[in-house]
Amino acid sequence: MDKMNHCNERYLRQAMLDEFANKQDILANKKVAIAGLGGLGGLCSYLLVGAGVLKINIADSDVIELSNIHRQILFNQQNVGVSKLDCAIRELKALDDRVQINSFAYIDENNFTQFSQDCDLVLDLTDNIETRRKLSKLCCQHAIDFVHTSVAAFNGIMIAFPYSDRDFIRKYGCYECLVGDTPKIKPQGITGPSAAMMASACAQLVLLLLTGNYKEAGKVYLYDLKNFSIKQAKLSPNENCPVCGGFHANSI
Amino acid sequence: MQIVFNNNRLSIVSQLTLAELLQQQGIAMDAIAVAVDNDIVPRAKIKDFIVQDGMVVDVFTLVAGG
Ligand SMILES: [Zn+2]
Repeated sequence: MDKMNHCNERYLRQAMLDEFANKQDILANKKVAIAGLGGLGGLCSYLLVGAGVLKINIADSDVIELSNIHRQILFNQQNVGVSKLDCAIRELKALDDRVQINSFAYIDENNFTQFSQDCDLVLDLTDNIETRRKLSKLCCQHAIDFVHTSVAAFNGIMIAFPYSDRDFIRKYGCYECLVGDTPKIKPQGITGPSAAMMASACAQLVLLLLTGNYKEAGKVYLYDLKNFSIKQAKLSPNENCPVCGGFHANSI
Repeated sequence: MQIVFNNNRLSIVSQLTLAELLQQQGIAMDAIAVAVDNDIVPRAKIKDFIVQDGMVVDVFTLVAGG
């Protein structure tokens, strides 16, 4: 009973919201795979564990650099040179020691099944378009729901791709349809708050998705983080997409 | 004919493709997404998409950082 009251107290303010009333058991039993522990993945994972998502898989191959810590708030100057995985695990367990974490030093075709096993969502919070395209393709092929969030300079993009719903793919396509032949994107500058705003937006979207409170389909959220505006557009499929084209073959 | 391009009114010739419109406006095709009347035009379709009178065209920057 003590433990119960303790948990109720932890989520008191969140559960005051209609959207999150009586949802803690649901959140505690969801599992989320998070690719990337940089400016997006670090804070996003922290907010999700804080909200009561207690089963996560995390993947990152980097060690912490001094140039990371202005935006990667899970890490501090004493962590420079330490692996992001090790440091993130320590911080997330300090936040809630009940959290179950599996960590992955990389994701490829061979360990993707392990990385995404029993997961309700895969979050793509990586830092380059090549990895993002590969991860989206794997999720689309394995029918695993996928959330894309990216940020650079003052621009942020956030999209939910529920790839387990083949009707969604027929109607809206996939990440590859959107980015297609985009060449390699050069690294750009970024402020800590820009990364944090998109990390928070992503965590909010994930919590709404996991609790059944997100009802939109095919929306692209385009953030202008300097002028504080969010534009929305709808995804459209490329019927000849090399990733999801097969799903459009029989559509009208 | 008239369209709205990135919130500005613009007169264009008929039978112009989106790719030609972008080129005329000095926008390189590298890291962008284009929406017409709020629907994203997949990048693979931009070169064949014919811009019609009254369309609202918005160009967005694609980012991939994290
Ligand atoms: Zn596609």
